Amino acid sequence: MARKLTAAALATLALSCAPETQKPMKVRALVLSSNGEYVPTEVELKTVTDIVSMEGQVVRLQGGAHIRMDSEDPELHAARTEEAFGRALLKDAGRPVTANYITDDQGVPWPADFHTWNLVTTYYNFERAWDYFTQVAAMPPAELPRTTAYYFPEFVLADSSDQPQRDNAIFFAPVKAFMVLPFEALQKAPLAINAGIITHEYAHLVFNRRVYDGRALPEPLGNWTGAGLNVIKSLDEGLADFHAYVASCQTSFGCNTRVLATSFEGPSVEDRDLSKSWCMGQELYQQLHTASFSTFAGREYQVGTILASALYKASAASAGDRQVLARAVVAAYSNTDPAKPGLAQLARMALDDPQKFTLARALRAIVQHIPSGHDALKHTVCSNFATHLRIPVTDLSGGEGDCPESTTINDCSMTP
Amino acid sequence: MHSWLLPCLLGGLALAAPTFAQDEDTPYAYPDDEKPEQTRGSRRHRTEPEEDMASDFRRISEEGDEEDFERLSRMDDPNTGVAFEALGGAMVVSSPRGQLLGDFLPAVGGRFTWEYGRLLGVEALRESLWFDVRYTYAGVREGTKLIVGDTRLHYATIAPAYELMFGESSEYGVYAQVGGGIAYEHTTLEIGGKVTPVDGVKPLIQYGVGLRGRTKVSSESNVRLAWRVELMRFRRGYLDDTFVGASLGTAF
Repeated sequence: MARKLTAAALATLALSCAPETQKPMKVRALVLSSNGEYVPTEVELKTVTDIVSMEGQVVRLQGGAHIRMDSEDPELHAARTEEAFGRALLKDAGRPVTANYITDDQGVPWPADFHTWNLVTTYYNFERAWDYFTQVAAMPPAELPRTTAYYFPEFVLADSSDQPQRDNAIFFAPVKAFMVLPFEALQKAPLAINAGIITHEYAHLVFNRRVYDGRALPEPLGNWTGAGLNVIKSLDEGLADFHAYVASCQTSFGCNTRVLATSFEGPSVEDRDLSKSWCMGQELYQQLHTASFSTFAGREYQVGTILASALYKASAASAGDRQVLARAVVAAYSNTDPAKPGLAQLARMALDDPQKFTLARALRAIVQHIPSGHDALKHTVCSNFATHLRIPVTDLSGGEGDCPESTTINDCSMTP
Repeated sequence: MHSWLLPCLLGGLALAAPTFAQDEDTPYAYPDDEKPEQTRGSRRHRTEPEEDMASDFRRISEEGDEEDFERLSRMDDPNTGVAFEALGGAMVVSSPRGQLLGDFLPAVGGRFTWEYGRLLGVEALRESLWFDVRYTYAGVREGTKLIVGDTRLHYATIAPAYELMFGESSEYGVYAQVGGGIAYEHTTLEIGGKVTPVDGVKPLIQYGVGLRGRTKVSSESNVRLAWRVELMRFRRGYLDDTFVGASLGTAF
């Protein structure tokens, strides 16, 4: 009898424990199926180390944080280093999330409440994004260490409003972390469940690490005001959309040219659809090259969509082309080879004269990183850049034949 | 006249002494002070003044009817020691999104209480040992219009308690409680109208403290108002929930 009671007590204690984290960890998450609906699907998390606190090699989800950016904040004024600046912004670092599971007969944990579904899917989407950049884009995993993602933090931009920000998912360089903000007006798929949005944000992290050397306060963003800033912000947005598109081709839904589709509707989705033949209009071209960023802000998405659309059209034909182009883009972020400097090096060279950081020169860097043997792809990329972004072929070639002579400029009239 | 008056007064005082003398500390006993013990307010002494308890016991014991004797042994406390209460409050559920205190959900439920200490035959434990059979419900619906989760938590526990009364015959006391049971969780995840149910049972450990009262509502009835204010923790599998609330009901 005593043995039975002891066994029962031990069984109770065992049941009281959290699910054991295995590698890989099978768990249910919300995945976009081939018919465009989110379906609870069994997935494998390869990098998670704690399935309850949702912590792993790729990301660590942290709840209850409070981040406040206020130009009047004396702590911010007193900060002398990037780390101190980050600490001044982070009023409360929060604490680990606590996922709640119910394990099925096969031993697979199922999220037992809405937020756990959201958390697991968020981790899964971050892992997919990490997997894309390390496998498809061939980045060394060591270059993408674990990053914190603040889940449903209180994020206040005090200079514009004392109300916490809502309905967004962002990579916020000053704290070197992601933020999945609470939703309010959003009534479709929560942003973190949308794999395309998470990949887009992860691409900002990659851009920050390579182009800005992982700085919390990148020099170009702090020093530049006009054309150079407009261009580099447009590149960041456009290339992030392109990566989100290429990464989506590995999913059960397939290649998705409308990154925002499952979370938003209407013009905000259609205006970011990469499958459309967007072209740079005269007015946008002028704004890009002459306006201050305070005037231009918001239009970096328009330029970015044109750029992403040009890359999409150049690589849509095959998975091989997509992979080559994705690798070329990531390689072009930073390259110390003086013959084909990357965006980081070009930005550094233009720190004192941002007019030198032009869209044409930046796109030429991408062309230069398309490896030899892919002439057809290079031809298409050059033609699309010239056609959709109205870049003179001579600027793309740089007088050194980076673009093939066969580069053509086609008719293009659809402006965002 | 004076010659016999003084001896008479002294003699009267001497004779009167045995009749009225008392201890210095003992007050004079007036008829009004000699009320029966039933009026002292103790729940042990609430039988009608007219009844002669001693004669009943004498009669039964002389007649040797053991069964009747046991029945009457409880006549000084006619309560059965059971109570039924409805409860409500806030269930601070372990927060999946990492909130400091947890996620506050409204919670309701009910419980049955039995003072099993009455079986032990120890006066000090008579009303101090009892247990609850308790049910508590909390639920939450979260999400967007497209993806929404409807979670319902059902807590069922049996929890013994020890109560420290505020006095020998007090109607109030503070208590500590530890018990166990099960938690049944049921979540329906609705995506675009398609529902995926997820449910399961987890072991549940309950522990906490509270203030308990059984206020007499009428001098002519044994029915009492049972109430509590409590702070109770529930370890639901590996998650910790906290209930802060009150209950109200009837005790017999």
